[in-house]
Amino acid sequence: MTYFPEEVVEHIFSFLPSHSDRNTVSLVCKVWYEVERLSRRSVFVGNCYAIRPERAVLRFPNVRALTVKGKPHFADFNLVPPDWGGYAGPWIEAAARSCAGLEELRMKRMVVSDENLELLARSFPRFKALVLISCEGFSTDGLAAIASHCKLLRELDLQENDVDDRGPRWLSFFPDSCTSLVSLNFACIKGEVNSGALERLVARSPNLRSLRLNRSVSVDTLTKILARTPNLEDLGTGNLTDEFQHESYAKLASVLDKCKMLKSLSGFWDASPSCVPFIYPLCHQLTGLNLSYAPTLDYSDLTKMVSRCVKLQRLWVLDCISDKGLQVVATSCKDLQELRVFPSDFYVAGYSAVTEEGLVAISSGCRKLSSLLYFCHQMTNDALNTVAENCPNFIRFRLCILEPKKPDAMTGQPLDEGFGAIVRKCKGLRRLSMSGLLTDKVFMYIGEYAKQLEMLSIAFAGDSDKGMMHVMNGCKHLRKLEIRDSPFGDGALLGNVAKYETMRSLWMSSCNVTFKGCQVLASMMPMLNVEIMNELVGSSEMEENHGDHSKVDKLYVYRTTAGARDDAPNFVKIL
Amino acid sequence: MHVPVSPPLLGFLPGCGCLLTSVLSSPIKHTQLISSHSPFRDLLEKLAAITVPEQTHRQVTYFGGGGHVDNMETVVGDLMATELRLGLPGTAGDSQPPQMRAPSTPRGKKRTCTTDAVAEDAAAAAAAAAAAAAEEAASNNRDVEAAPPAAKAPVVGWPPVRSYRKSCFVQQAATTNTKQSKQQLAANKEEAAAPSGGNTMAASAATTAGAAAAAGGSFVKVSMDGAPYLRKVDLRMYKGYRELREALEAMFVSSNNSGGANLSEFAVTYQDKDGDLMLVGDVPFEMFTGTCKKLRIMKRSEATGLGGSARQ
Repeated sequence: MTYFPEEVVEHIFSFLPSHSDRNTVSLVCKVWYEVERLSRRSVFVGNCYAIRPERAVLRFPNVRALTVKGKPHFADFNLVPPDWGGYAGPWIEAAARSCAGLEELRMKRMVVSDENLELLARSFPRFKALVLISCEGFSTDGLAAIASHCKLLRELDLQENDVDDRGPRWLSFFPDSCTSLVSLNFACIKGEVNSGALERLVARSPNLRSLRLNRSVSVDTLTKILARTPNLEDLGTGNLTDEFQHESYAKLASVLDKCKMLKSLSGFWDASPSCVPFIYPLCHQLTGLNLSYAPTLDYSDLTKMVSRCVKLQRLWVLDCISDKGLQVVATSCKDLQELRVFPSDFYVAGYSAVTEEGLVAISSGCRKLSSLLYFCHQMTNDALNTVAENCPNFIRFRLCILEPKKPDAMTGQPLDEGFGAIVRKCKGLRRLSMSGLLTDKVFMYIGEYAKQLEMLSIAFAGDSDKGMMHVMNGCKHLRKLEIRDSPFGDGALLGNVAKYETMRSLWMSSCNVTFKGCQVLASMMPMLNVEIMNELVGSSEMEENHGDHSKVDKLYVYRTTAGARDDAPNFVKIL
Repeated sequence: MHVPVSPPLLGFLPGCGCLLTSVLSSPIKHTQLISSHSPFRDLLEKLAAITVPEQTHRQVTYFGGGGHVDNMETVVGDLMATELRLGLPGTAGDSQPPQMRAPSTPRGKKRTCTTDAVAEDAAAAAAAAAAAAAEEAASNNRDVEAAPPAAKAPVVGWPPVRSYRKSCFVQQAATTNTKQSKQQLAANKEEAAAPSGGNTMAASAATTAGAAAAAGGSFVKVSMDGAPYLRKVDLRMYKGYRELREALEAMFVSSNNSGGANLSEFAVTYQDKDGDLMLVGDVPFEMFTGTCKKLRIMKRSEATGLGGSARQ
């Protein structure tokens, strides 16, 4: 194809939807590499330390949309010490120098400072979309900078970030000339916002389709806003407490009635049961519903709402819905594709109203289910088998039994067979998260049957190195493996070292891996960064006392072209 | 021989407890339960099996009655306490299961509808079964009792719930707890301060607040247009806007004698952290108490700029 003019090749490439396809064609020949890199509009960096930011932006100078992910997934559960890394600064600085045309930036689990946001706001005149997920390190001052300088801002989406609240004034920094907002999500901002400024902003944003408010926004403000946004498709409410007059709710109901395009609903902060009937008229049109931040709604409130949501595709709830409630979901929501049931009580000793029965009911009623996150306090092999039979389309299956190592609630057996059934029947499974009592056998099943598996999360499972080896040898598409509190040691770590080059990362914490084993890995595989984190003592002290055979608390291994990173804190040792 | 039967007392949480009631409160089933070995044994084993650490069910079943045997008290609890005890009626304090001996007298549970002979046999059999099952359960429970400490130790990062989600719930739990403690305070307040005027109320409120309030009092000044002097209230005393309103009415309006003992002609406003004048009632009460610096009760005619007549 070298006799095609470059414009034609570029045009052909524009039909390639995925990053991996584009990565592949760039390997064909130099010409294609050049054409591809100059025409690449969207760059995805799954691990911010896998490549130097400068290298990425120099290779793709015309990038419009950049996505970067930082900390490993287990950072969500406080397993990664603070100050580990994942800084957004180098990426924003590099892009500011080389990619003036940047329009969209998405970051997940990264540390972003106000200075970074300020630089971002000032460096890209066509900047349109900022999405920050589970990030930290910035305050509402940084948001003010974005609001005031990004004249074409369409999307400001803040999901579950830890934001330092410096007051409500940031929202007022959107200039009067800013009329381009399509999506605004500030649900994670803890404090108040200026409701007048919010109302005015909404009033001058005719293209607004997605709006997620935070807890401080009152029912009255919500009503006034909705009166201005009849075309809203996605709404996150403010608080729906019962401190308000019935009249307020009636007004809310009447504006909600006009929102015919509203398909997705979330928020429900401090929701009182008396607010629920006002939502009923919307239920029949909803495809997405997130009630997982409303512990004040009980089983009957939830089921009354959900039973009306006949078109629902995505449901996030708390376990207060109980097995009975899940049965109602199963009979009402035949189009359900994604279900997440979160615990309302985070203590292992606590009680969850949700068991294997709820899951079985869901599986028999909602045959299209493909994505599941389910916290419960017991499970059985039988139930998992039934679920696998009923729903062979699972792509994501995450089951968390609250008590570690809990066996089959009926037979007392490990749950190997149950999870084995899942991987056997669900041939498209890409993500799996397991819990309960599990032996090496389940890993044998995974290695044998889970051929499309890309991400596997293991906790308190397995008997020996063989378990991990089954996975390492069998799962050809494995990209991310994260393990905690499982008896895998150096044998498993070193059993298939070439595999790590095909994976994004490996995380092992509280396993049996030793310092020596990690050293061996690092010396065998120079293109990997082997990061060790020991919190108990400084690593040098540890070596003195116990030698190389001391166990490593936390191990994070990832492939990289960037070499050892220079921003690692003291407690991280890179071999 | 008639043996008085006291109905089994069941204090329980939902779950197995309900089932037990339904089974055990019916006389006939009651008998059957005792006279055949397996259901009773199964029941006890089930009870023992339920005593796994993560359950917070608490069941107290007294198989009460006369006779000196088989007053069985089953306490199935959470990971704190798990024990199955056999004891004489009223010997609930004993921690050691006394030795069961083959009863020669009919059990307290025995029904009068069966003949004595049958009753005795059944009772003996049941007693043996009960003893065996109970001891088994007791030993199970001793094993289980050994287990809880390990399960109790908090595991970092487990269950795998995002810290963001946990922090949202802490906020909401704090809201509930503060509400509950305020309910407590409100109850105390009502008891202490009958129909007396504002001063007494404030005083008793202050004392109870001292005992139970969360970090620091948050007394704010309250001014009312036309009133000669200001008052102070502790916002943490109130669990919601309604209570606050009632307190303010009691303080100001009753002494005013302007006819109605309510604030309908007035707008209750407050000055927040930024110094802005805000209408009371827009944000959740907890958020309001955190940001309110001063309260001002102004005449409605002056308050036209502040918005809706939705609030009275």
